[in-house]
Amino acid sequence: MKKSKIWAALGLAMAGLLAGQADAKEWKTVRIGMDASYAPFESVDSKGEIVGFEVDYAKALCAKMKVTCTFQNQDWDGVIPALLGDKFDVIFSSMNITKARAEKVLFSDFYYATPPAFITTKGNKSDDISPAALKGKTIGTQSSTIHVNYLEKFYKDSEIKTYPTQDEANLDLANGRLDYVTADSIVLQEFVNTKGKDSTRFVALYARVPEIHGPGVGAAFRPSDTDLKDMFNKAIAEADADGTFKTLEKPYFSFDIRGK
Amino acid sequence: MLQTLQSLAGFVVNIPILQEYGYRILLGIRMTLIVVSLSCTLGFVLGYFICLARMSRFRILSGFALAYITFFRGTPLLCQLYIVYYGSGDLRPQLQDLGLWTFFRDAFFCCILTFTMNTSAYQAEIFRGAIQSVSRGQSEAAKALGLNRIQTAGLVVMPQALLIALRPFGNELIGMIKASALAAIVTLLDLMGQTRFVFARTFDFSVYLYAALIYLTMVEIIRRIWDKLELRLSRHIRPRFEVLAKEEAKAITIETSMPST
Repeated sequence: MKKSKIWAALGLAMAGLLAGQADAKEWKTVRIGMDASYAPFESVDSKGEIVGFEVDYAKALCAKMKVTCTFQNQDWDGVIPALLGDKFDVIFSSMNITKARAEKVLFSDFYYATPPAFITTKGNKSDDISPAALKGKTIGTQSSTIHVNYLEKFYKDSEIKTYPTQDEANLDLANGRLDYVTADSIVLQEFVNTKGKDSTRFVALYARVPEIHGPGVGAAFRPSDTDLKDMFNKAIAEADADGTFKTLEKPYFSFDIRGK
Repeated sequence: MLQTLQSLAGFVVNIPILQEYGYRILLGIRMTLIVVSLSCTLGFVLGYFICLARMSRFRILSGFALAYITFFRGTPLLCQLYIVYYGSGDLRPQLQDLGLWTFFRDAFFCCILTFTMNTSAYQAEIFRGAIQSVSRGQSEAAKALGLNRIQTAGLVVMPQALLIALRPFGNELIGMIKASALAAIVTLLDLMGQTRFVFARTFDFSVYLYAALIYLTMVEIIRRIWDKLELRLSRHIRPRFEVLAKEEAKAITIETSMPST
């Protein structure tokens, strides 16, 4: 008799626990993970804080969702494992929506789309970026990005080098170890205008290839957090409608990057 | 439950990944073996000379060797690699003038250089420890027999010292195999580099598991080779009865395994 009562109590407790788990979690704070080596979208300033367009934009979205947001710096290669491992709740780090990634994470609607580009050294006068022209040349980019996939697919006769961060690829171009670097055009333009002023120059933009580059950049969530995704989608739509996006992008970009 | 087990099994034995990227992993193993064997061999030679410098009576020479050893043993290998790789990039104009840039431009050579310098510092200390642990009486006896310094070193001290140093050298080799994974950070496609590449393509953790198992296999093979090597090379100093007992045991097993008539 007594035993069965204990079992019943335990059973109730278990049921309660399970029910609690099944209930939608109330989002009060959202931890945002980004790889802060991608200025002007996100980078670490001299005070050690993460700053950039995506930080401002994420803060605006968080205000609309009425949640507190915290920001964490995470190396790009580990950004999806860290999300899945519950180190933070959303990747908000210029992550292009691709098929391979969508098998692991849940994407929001895209919130910006910019063309990729090539940059090269000052000494290189050629503006031809066709695979034939870049045959035998060394091209660098950040590992685990769509740009690697693009190079692997179209630049088979070039040597491809991948780096943990975009900063290191840019640095090796400035150092002369690479002949070209490809990445997002805005990030490369920023580098060419600032740190790479004396040694590098912008070559050309190229069109996004839909099956490689996807529709654009989205926030990424754990597959189970559909409620958080819906919250972000709603906030993204709101930020479009009330002009928040346009206001925020002004200080950073000379043209509209929304791509819609 | 069954499904969980199935997905776990699929995680451990991921055939599609092995099919598509197995060749890349093999290339990575090759690169790791090249990097480790090259830098350990060069480090062995360099380490010997550094050890000689360290034990030299010339203050400046031994002081320099001590500084070298202290620096390379006292700082992280990753930091040394960055200094060589990105530091040389910063010094490109000067290196170009010296005609050395073609060497430093290549991540492979930067890795070999850094790993060689790092392991030579450790190997120099292994050498020194081993040489100093050969009892003084040995070189005194050699002197009494009229052997000159080179003969003493080559015929008496070194053979004994190398036997003492064998185990620590094996440990250093194993250490280098594991440390060589750092080469992946500066774009070299060694085993770790290829693993990272495959992971970036598939987002599948099992590739890291494979890499770990391959590293473990390499380390285990070396450990076993070293066991055999030590057993073989130390026959003459092991107590006689131990060797005899082994042979006897062998004889008995052969006898017992023979079919009785």
